Amino acid sequence: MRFFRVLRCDLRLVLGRQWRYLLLLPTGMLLFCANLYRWVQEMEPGASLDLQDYLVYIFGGMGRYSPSPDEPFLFPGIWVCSVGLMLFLMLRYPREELYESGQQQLLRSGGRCRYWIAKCVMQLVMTVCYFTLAYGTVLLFTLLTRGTLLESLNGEWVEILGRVNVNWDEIAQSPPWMYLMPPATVLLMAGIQQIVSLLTGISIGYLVSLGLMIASAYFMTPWLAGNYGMLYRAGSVMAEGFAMEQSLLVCVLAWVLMSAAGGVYFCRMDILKREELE
Amino acid sequence: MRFHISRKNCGWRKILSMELRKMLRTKAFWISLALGLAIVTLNTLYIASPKEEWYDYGENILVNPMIYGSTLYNCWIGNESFTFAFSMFYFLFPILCILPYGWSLCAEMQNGYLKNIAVRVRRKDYFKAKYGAAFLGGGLAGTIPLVVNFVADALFLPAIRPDLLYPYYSMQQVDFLAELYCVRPLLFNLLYFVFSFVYFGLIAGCTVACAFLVKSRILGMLLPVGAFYVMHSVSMMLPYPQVLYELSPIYCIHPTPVARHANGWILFGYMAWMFLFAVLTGWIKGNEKYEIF
Repeated sequence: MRFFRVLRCDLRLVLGRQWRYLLLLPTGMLLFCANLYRWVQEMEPGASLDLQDYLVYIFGGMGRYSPSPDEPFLFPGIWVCSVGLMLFLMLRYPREELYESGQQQLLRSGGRCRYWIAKCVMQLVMTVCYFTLAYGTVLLFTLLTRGTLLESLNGEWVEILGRVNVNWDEIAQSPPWMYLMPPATVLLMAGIQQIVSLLTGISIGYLVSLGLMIASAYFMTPWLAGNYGMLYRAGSVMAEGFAMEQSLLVCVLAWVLMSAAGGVYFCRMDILKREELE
Repeated sequence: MRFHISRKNCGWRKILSMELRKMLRTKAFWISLALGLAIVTLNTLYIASPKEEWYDYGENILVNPMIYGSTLYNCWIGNESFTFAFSMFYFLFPILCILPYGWSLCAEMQNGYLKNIAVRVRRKDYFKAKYGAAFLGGGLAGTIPLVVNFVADALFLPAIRPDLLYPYYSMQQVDFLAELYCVRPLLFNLLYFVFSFVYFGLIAGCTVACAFLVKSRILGMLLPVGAFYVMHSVSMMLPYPQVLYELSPIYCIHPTPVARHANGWILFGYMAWMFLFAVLTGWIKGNEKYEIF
């Protein structure tokens, strides 16, 4: 019961603090959707877009980058802004709150373990909220522009926009659960960020998240978490992309492990000493 | 060391020197500098690592063995745009600049130190000194890695004047200071060190101004960074031939063009905008908000 009270209190505080910043998310989504719509109308007047086209455009990231002096590395701005905003929103609360009302909450929660689990569950709930808001806005835009819903992904646009070697055999039948990959990746990155910010500080935690994002964009490797969150690199979209079932499993398992490791550290952390250092 | 301040003997220069000493003692400044240096070292390691294939023109035409193929002026981090070091540095520099001391005013407002200091010195002087310290901290943390990279790369590569007959340089005639780059490349790069220093400092200054607008330290710090990324994303969405020049606040400070042509007016426009934002915010909000009595 105490656990749910802590969780409820967290959610109320987070939503109370964040609602203004949350407006940035649908605004950004609308801007990105409108940009893709404009671009497609210029290329093919009268063409209708599917919900998947918008989602892949926003959460696609970029294809494989081959370093070459002729081809500058342009980081995927839309993906960075969308994912970066969500990570930023999840960054502040647990750490800042720990040195405010969090210590009172910690005393009343009945144990550090419960407190930490509440924070991890809150991460999960907030990720679901952010993506519901983001996907909901894209869905609304698709409906308003009379687009189709989850019918098929247009491989030609993916090839041009993402500069991807398209997997033509599977792209038309991309499974809808592919769109769970960005939330799973954001969740994993939020877990990493939470632990790093606990160890070093909020700004370094965010710096590490941004560094991870850019390293993931530059190197296409399963060892960098951000790769799983780029839909252009999914196996059904890109010819040599990542197998999605495995990616999803890796993200969830890694998040659970990160949370457990963070919990062990948090249970032994000297909060008052750290507060003095702050 | 203890700092003694009193209204009598405290001009803003004295407060500035005190703030600079404080800045140089913060871990954040050294962490930021170390991170910047670590990133640019990746570029130097890439340049310095032996590459037999560089000389095997038949197999690898990306790096040409001709003498103009790889020179200091197309390989150091400020004149190339394809290595991991470039990607990291020019993506993270806004945070590296604000990390040294941009947060300090916000922190001092939160912990009440400002109230103590405001009764001892003129607030205007104090804010000016804070801005100055943040400016210098941001400028140093951003520019020192660039200078170190330039010097380190010069140990391994010849500093041959670029010959634009060869297609190994991204600079074109329409680009900002293109003539200087071709005729006096060293002067061009030195000039860009100065621009970078000012630009990085102004970013840190914006964070100081944000302390007047938001309560949260982390939000105040990361607001200018977020604005940079949003502006970058929007600029990258603009159609290329119609918008010829680089509008991204991240790429416009790169000495040679990255995605589009470089334009000096845009670079100076961003500088002016950041300066005005900081000064006006400090001027308006600094007077109205901190009436402590």
